[in-house]
Amino acid sequence: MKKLFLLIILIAAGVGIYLNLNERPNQIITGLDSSSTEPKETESEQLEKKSSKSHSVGHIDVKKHPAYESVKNYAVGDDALLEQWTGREEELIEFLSAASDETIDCLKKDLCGEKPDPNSPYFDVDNTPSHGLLERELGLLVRLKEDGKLKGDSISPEQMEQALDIKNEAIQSLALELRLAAGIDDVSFSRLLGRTPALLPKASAGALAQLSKESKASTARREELINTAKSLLASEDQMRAVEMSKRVKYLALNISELEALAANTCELLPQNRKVVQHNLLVAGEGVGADLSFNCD
Amino acid sequence: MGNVFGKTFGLLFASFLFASSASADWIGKQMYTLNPTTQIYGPVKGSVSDEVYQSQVFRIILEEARKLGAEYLEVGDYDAYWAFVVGSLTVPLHEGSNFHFRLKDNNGSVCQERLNSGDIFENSKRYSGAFTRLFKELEIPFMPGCEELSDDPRFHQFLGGHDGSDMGIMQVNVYWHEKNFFSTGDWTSVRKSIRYGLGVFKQGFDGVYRNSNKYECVMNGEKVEYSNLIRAAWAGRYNSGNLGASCRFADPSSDWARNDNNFKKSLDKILSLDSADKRKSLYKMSAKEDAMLEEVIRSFKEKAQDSQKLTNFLAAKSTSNLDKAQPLLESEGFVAATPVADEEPLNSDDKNEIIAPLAELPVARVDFEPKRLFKVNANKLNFRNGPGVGFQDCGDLLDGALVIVSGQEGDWVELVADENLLKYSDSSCEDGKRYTHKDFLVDNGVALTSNEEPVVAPEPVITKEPIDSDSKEPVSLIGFAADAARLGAIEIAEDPFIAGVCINGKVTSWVNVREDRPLGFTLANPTGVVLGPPGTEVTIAEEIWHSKNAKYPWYRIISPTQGWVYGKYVEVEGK
Repeated sequence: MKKLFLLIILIAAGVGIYLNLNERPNQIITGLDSSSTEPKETESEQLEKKSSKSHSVGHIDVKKHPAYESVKNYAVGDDALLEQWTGREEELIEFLSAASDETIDCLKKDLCGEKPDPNSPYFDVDNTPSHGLLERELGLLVRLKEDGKLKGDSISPEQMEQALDIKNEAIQSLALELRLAAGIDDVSFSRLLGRTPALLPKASAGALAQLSKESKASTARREELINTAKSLLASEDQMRAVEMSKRVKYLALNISELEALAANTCELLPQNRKVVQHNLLVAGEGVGADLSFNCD
Repeated sequence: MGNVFGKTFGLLFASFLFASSASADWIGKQMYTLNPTTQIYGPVKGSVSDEVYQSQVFRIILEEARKLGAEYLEVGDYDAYWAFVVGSLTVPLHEGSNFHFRLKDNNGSVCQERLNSGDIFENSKRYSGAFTRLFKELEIPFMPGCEELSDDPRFHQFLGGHDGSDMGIMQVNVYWHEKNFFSTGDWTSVRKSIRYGLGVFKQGFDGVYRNSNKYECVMNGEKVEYSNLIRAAWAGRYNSGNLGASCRFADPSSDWARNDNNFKKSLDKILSLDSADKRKSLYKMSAKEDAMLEEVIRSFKEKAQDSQKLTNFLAAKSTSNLDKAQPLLESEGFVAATPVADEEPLNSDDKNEIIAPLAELPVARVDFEPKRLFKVNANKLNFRNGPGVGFQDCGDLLDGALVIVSGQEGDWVELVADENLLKYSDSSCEDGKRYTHKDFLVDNGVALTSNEEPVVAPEPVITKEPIDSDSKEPVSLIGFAADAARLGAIEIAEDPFIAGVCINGKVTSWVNVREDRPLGFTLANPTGVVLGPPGTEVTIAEEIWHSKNAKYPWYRIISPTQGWVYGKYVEVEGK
């Protein structure tokens, strides 16, 4: 009996090693983010850390911080600014986290005081200078992430999810990117996917592409992703359908998934049906599909 | 854009452009005077004849409209494409009368102190703040006080709007677009200014077009009324910053009805240019451009279902001279911060200059001579008996299969039907040529001779003239692109896929692949693909310096995946 048990363990270990070795080459193309090669924490662990981080962030006086002026000064490029903080990245991250938290709050409260000019027809409620500032703050955090300086627990997942409420495509995309860097589990995967159809068109399509990678973890996740893609095709704002179709190549769909999407294109406006179906057909070329739409 | 422009100003400007040069220089009151050391790019009114200037601006507009409108052409949506092109010609005419920079002799009263000092913004904190940050609070200010310029013989001037806050050919607002347009240095390039403005116009155009059922003002029964779509795109996103205001133009009692009426007059003016007489008096250009303008208007009006003449027009002529760095002017008081190459621009070492992308033009047919070898980069790749998804599926190529390519038609490449291909062929497929989509092929780095024997790939040679037409020394496309880019120049280069002049590199860390290069400070979406580990090889098709503040370029890669990666994380062979 003992021998049999030992044999099972050895076989299991062997299969594990084999699968591991065979999975690595895929990482060249569809590989994981450097941050996601590290062990993932559960969401509850992250939120716990977040609440303690929020506490420490609360002590930062954003406007008196030495990084404040240079972050606001766009003449200082991202590269130059990051160079200025070489060796002190943790401090910069703490500042950016606190600053973006404040900017999110003030944008939600009253657009940070931005008001229309009665003498001008122009007022872009979703692209005010404060939106630009938040985008800069989040963009710098993304750059720090890409430089390997931002660890998953350095940013608050909750804060990034709050940023998804801001109706600005760049902000929503950056916030999602940072949110995913913190790692996700099945619950947060479903929650984020559930929010995708409410994001602005390019951000919702981009979110689907980003979550596609995470969807490979299980069949259930994949099914949820495809259902969300289908819902984007039926979105009231048909820009979402068009933008999603432009990024369908990033979803690594198989033939049956493509067929499922193809079946949901007939209700689109003619000009959108044309572009969505074209993009699905081109994506189908790479998997040997021969899609038909049967819309007549 | 962010403007109060368009009440009457656009039309006055229009009359300025088209009137004889002897007309009074009332426009001078709206011109900022630039520090002579400011490097500017593109056509400058007054440095060439009006006819040449207008022809050059026209070409730039068409090129940028072509790039932005490519998605309509890809699916054969010509109605939308022609409407977008006509709209793209209308907006810069309406906003700035196709006018961005001019060269002017100093007669003692050219420089407007009220503008250059920023006093024009004395009652607006938001504008004065942005103006000061962008143009004054610099080691060498772009717009010094007039006193400091008084001894200079000539000036470059930059168009401001009637209240100074909207600037350039697209009348971009200094407050609303400080971050992604002005601080990146895009305003110093005529093309980049046009591109930025048309990008905003496209947001309005698409926003309405893709949801046309919700915008009654652009519908005529079941069909889209494209002239109204152009008007909606301008009234909404461009002039109001708000898609919800797109149908404003249809409301005669709107507070901004005058803006919309004036825009309509500009659109009507453009639409009248299928008449030779009108073009002669309103939009005089060189012969080829003149004929093309007529063709564009006619195509829009007649709903032409092809764009080959326009494609050929854009592909036929090098546009190098359109974007060249303008020589710096003599100055008594200022020394240029960076030397500017007015004689040997290709050798400029200034790596931080702004850049613009190389455009891919649709090409009816390009033959690869010699033929080239590609590798399939897809699980199972369809190949068909014609260049499009509508043709018969003739079989599937497997991942890693090698194919010989003899030419390209749009996004499709023609495969040589050798034994290898026959192996994958469905016998029921009709005889004839075989094509596959180029997105799923990776250049194997080997060109083939006509007898299909692998040979060493030839050194890349550019086929367009360099910016400095005196320089005949061939350089690689990448090198040329980079050098041109450093000068802020934009060259319509050949599709690197066609030209086969890609270069190799390796990633130095795990790196996100993004959909596009950044727009100003705005990063494009990640594609979800992360390249790595360090050392992973990439094939680079394009190099872009996206901002004057950037320390590294962005690279468009075509292998092992397609997308854009930041140069900080890529080591390029030979650099």
